[in-house]
Amino acid sequence: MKTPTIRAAVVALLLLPVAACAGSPQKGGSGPERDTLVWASSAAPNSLDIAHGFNNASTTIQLAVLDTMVTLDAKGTPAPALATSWTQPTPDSYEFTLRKAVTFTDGSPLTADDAAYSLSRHLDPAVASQAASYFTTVKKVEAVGTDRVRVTLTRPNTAFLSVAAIAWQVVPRKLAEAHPGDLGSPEVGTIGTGPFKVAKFSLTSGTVLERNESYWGPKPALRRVEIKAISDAETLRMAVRSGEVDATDGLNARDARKWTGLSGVTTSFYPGNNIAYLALAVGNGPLKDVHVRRAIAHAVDREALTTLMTGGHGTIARTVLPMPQMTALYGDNMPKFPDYSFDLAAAKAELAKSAYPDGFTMAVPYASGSDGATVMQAVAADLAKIGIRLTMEPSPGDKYMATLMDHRGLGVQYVNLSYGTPEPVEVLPDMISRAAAEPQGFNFSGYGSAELDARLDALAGATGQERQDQVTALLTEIGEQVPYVPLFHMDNGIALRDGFTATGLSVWNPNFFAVIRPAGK
Amino acid sequence: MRGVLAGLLGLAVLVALFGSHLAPHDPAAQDLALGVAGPSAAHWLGTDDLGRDVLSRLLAGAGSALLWPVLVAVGTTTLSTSLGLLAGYRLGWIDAIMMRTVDLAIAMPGMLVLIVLVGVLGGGYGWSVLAMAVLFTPGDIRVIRSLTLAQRELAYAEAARTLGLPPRRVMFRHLLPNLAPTVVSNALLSFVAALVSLAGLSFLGIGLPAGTPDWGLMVEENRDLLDLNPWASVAPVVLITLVATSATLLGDRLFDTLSKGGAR
Repeated sequence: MKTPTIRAAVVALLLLPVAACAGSPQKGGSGPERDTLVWASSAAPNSLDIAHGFNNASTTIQLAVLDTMVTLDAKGTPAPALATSWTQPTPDSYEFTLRKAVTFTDGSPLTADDAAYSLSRHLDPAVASQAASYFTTVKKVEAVGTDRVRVTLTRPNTAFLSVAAIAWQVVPRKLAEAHPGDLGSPEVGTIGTGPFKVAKFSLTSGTVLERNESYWGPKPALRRVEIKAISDAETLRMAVRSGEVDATDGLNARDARKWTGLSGVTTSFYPGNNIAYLALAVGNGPLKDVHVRRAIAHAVDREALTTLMTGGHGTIARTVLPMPQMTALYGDNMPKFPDYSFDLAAAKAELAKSAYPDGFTMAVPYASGSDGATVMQAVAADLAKIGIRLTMEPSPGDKYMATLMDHRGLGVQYVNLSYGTPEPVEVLPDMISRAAAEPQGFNFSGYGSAELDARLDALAGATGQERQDQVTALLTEIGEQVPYVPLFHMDNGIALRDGFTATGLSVWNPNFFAVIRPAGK
Repeated sequence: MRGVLAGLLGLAVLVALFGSHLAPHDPAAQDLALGVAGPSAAHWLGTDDLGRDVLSRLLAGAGSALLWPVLVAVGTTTLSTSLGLLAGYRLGWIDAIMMRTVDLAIAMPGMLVLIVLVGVLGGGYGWSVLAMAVLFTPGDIRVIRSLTLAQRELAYAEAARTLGLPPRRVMFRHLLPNLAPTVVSNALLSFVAALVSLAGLSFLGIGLPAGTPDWGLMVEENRDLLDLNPWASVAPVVLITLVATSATLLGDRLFDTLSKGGAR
């Protein structure tokens, strides 16, 4: 069971960081100045503890209430938060210096012991942390003196700081120890050092946050945030339109046209840390043949598909890494990877080289009513042009996910995942490790080998140019062997009613409530 | 009025039979570059998000939307009439077992059973049609049985028995024609219920594969396009409503007309 892995990716998927909204359009509110924000998410938060609520709705609140030891700056580089600085005495250890005079919202002082325990608890089976997979390389966490925390890893891990920026949320040891299994629940709640404190947390009637007047950092402009869940996209849009809701991140780029036309509402889209792709099960019949896989890659009109699925707020994917990760890794010096342009003649030529020159028929399960249904219809129409007939098999969403995660009946699958860090090592093991090719893993292609696993292990400890070269080599191999057909990257979006603005949001740190402010403040 | 209703249903049947040939475009042909668009000279009811012609899909989808409910209605009517006649005429242990079974079946939440059967257990669309026929049957059995109980005591039925006619002949040659008004109207009501229920299943995304031209599925697939091309989802709703209403009213009229014919 690799639930933590799933959770890590799904959570990351849902973290959907808000990218640079700097420069986003702002409309000045004409009404009275307001410092209470009504926020709606598309799902209800289930826990204020990342160990038990590692999902978008929950982490949105956690990030407002709980500080992490480090954070990520706009470029995705680890930056100080509760830790003012850190050193790396050896390749497999870090030593953090704690910010002084920080208190929890109950008035108790933050200690190094609190910080150390907040990380080590994720390794405790009694906690059963959903973030445990982020810290599998953590060997030991200890308070050193009153203001330092030492973390020893089992092996060098360049992604440690990035994942710590998401999941090393600091809570009082006393509270966390007393509630290993239900910290963050409505009954227990949580206490943090963040810019907000929890005034109310209910699974059914919503959450209310109030500004932490003793916050150590810049005080948020909002005094109060009321959070509700509206799961139906159209209902959410109507709620924003009517003014019942002031802001939301629950809009889909595909629906951009519906949102951008709303009077009194400003929508902003920004690159999301996500990747949509087709997974081709390399062990399944015709898909074993690399020429078939290349034929499929050539036959799918990704440009049209990107326009369809992103409403113009997305880009064609050239590799299996999310675009912000590519940008963080390569900057402007993006290497050229094997790419398969939409070319039916080339697709037919590739198919002619395979054992299936006349095509074949393959069953394709999909989740009814999902984006996947639309994508697979378009893909099926494209592949039919070269003789590959996909038989669509509808399934309820939950059942489809269960079947998919069990890796049953894998063939051609549409997958769209989002991640939380700028680290390729967060994504690549999902794609090509043999461990992830087992049930509950995300390697739906089944592509992998002992040699690739060794290269992934080496990548985890690589830095600088060596790291970049290793990622390039892996992406090149994926491009040549085509276990995946990258489709598109979809922008994330945020909608704000007039009267509120948001500046300084970062794809790597979606702390919405700290950066949304009443217009003019 | 009856002529109008019959005409509407007749038209629906013609479209169901020949809709694919009448469609101005290939109902499956996609034009992603065009995407969703409102009505135009080329596409009278616009297109859906995959750029498919809505009118063509409506015409081609009529067959799927109407054929399956007809099968349900035929299955339900055949089963319920046979079993209702049998229970009401033979009475005794046959009646007792059948009625307790009917009581049990009526207590079951039909739609939920269908969703579990088709959605969770993975039965195909054919299974949902078969299950629907079975699930719709108990109510009709009870109605037919109660009518049979009344008819079997009438003089013509008594005379038939006195003549020594076998029960099957009495039931199907003498009693059944006198139940015809109810049987016919029940059949039409079953058709309507199946039409709406199957559209509901399609709307829930259970049953027909995505992309199949089908009115219920079109409502589900295009409901997010209301702002961009409302016809893509409104038109199939209107057609489902029109056919269902016509069939219901026609059933009423036929019941009245056949009832006035008197018993034989």
